[in-house]
Amino acid sequence: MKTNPSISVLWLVLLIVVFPFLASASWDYSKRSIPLDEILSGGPPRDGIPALTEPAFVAADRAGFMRADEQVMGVFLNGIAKAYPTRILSWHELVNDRFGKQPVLVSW
Amino acid sequence: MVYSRQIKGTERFFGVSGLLYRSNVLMYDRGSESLWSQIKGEAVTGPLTGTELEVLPSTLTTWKKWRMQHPDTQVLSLETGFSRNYATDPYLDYYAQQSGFRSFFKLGPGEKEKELVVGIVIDGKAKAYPLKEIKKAIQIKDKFAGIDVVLSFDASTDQLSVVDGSGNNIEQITVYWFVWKGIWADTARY
Repeated sequence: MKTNPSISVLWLVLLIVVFPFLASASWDYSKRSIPLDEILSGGPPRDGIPALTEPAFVAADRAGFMRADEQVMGVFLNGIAKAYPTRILSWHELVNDRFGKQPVLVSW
Repeated sequence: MVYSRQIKGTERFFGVSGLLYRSNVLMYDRGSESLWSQIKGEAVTGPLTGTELEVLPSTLTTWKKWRMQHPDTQVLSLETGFSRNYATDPYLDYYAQQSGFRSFFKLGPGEKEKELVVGIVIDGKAKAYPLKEIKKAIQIKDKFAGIDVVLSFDASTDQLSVVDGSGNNIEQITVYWFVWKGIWADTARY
């Protein structure tokens, strides 16, 4: 398939000029400990990958959707055990959760 | 990685910024809009720059092994409020690929970008231990940054433990080699 050169040029302009601007536009970099030119866009925009907040849980004996050999991130804290299937974590990367009074961030 | 969201007395909520720093996901907190390195657990831009997150213990294992250890466990529901195809992991291809994004360093002999390493930091000095070596040896005793380091792996629970000579827990993370090297450029390697 032939590509229209003017469309390629437009993409080039977007890639070089617009995307880095969008990537940096909403953040306050006046205070920082890493060089700015090493912060790159990973593709999706801010919240393009939606973090979970106040997630719902299912008791183990009701979790028919789980396969015995599938990978989970297991956390045991304050007497509470929770498993986070990594196939779900991969779609959200972050879970803002709570173990009793302890606020917990699960990151993947 | 699992962290406390209680930061200097304030509960913070985190989101995905869409930005990367040396192959590492940058997350942000919704209160101060600081960017945080997910692997390092430290704010790298914004008002909270330099603030470190407290690491909480976690294990990467299978559902079967986790359930055996914790029969009363709960599991994250598929009802997340988002419509996603949870039957498949979107990163399956990524896990299978040999290469990663590592324009910032050269691989040494025998090293692979996507090999899993267990990383520790003592007095600002970093060292990585290939997970395969720990699994093979079951236990590795090492001396690093002036202290004794004992790494053990329990295959029945997939529990990895890293302790010092007195049995005190040493914080550790399991990540791809190129990700660790991206954060700790001058890391030692076992």
